[in-house]
Amino acid sequence: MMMFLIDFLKFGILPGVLYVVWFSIVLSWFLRKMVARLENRVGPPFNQPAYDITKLMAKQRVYPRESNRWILHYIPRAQLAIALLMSFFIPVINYKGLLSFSGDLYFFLFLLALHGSTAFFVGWASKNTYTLSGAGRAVLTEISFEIPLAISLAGMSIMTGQIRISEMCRHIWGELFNTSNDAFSWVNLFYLIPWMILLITSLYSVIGALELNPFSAAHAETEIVGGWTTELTGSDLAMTKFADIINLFNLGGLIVAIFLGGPLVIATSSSFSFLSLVIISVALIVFMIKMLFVVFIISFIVTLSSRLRIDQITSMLWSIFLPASMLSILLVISIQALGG
Amino acid sequence: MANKMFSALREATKNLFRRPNTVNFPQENVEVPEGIRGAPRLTPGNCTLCGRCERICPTTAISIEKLNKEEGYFSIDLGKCCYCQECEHICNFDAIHLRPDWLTAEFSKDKLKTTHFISKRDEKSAK
Repeated sequence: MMMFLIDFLKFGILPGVLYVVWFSIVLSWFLRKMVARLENRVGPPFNQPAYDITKLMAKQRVYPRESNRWILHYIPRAQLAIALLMSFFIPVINYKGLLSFSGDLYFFLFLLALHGSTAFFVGWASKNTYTLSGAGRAVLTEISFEIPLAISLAGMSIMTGQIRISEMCRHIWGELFNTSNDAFSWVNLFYLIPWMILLITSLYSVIGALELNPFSAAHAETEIVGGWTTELTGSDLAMTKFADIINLFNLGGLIVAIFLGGPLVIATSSSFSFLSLVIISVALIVFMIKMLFVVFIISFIVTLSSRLRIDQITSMLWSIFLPASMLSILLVISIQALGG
Repeated sequence: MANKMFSALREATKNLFRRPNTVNFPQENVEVPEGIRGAPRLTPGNCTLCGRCERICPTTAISIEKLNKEEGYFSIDLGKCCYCQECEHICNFDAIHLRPDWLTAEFSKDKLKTTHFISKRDEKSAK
């Protein structure tokens, strides 16, 4: 009974659904506010993302006559479910997320690709020129950023020698600053160069996944109305927006875990006590500060760049970010060969 | 290219510490310029129910319902009004003015309609 209660609290409240939803809304507000402030606007009030979702939930649903209602109704809910499932892999109060197994990083990437392909189904089921065009662009963006992202994360896997998010999170500072070995070696500091390149390629890929500014051709409002979400109304649209908000948490959390070392775990405690509460709160606060920092960087990139055409997006991601990530993998391997 | 990027970065960073150009709308408003054509308001004491404003109103926002020669109902529907100021220009008695009230949104259409009861009998007895 006690175990069940603890599991319920874990999945339902603290690193689980309630915390993820709350913090995603906070992050979404922070992103919008920072973009507004960088553009010299006031920006939305704190509760605005929650208001938006609530208002959309109360709106009437309208389906076009020839569209496939089943897909338009259930795919957005599936997107939300996928986004919540992805959030369970993010380490929040411990190096381990709620779900953690060997190779979970690549399962996470698979779920991200699944989220991208659901966009295509929604666009196709709407039977509308705008949605079809937007869906095509969404899929093209998705296959363009997915490969640089996967290769960047593979580079981090090679650097840390792990394919599990929790282990990569635990080992990253040790690899970079050589704190895990007794003998200090200067070679390890060279890891900072590929780390930086991989961080930049991953950040840009994350922006592509979130369909934010340089890579937002999939819903270029002046051109193709709402992109693949054009025919979504009411709670269907709310679910899609909600999934996007939670994906901001997921992808920001992935960057924090893999590149910035995730939450700071100062000690381990097996039993429930005051000490464990202190450990959890320190880890949580450090995680949240890192997340806000990542979202701040994302807001800078979003503000400073204008929307690219779809052919510019593909050529940028395939001809700059893909070679850059491959080059940094080569760098990582050569540093390892030098004895890092 | 890099130079442009840096100047944009500098500008964006400066904006973080500047006072924003916009305001937090429902809590605070910008000052409207003088002479703005806002909601038309009637001064019931001046109105003689002559009906010139009703005839000139292009959107039939003003309607006058006369009960007898001296009494009647005067109503303005802001949902129809196009704020053209014709009624103010045509009125000989200074009875209708476009005030600078520009926050006229309401939750129901009925609330946009204001009706005044006008009686010239009281004024005559006062005189």
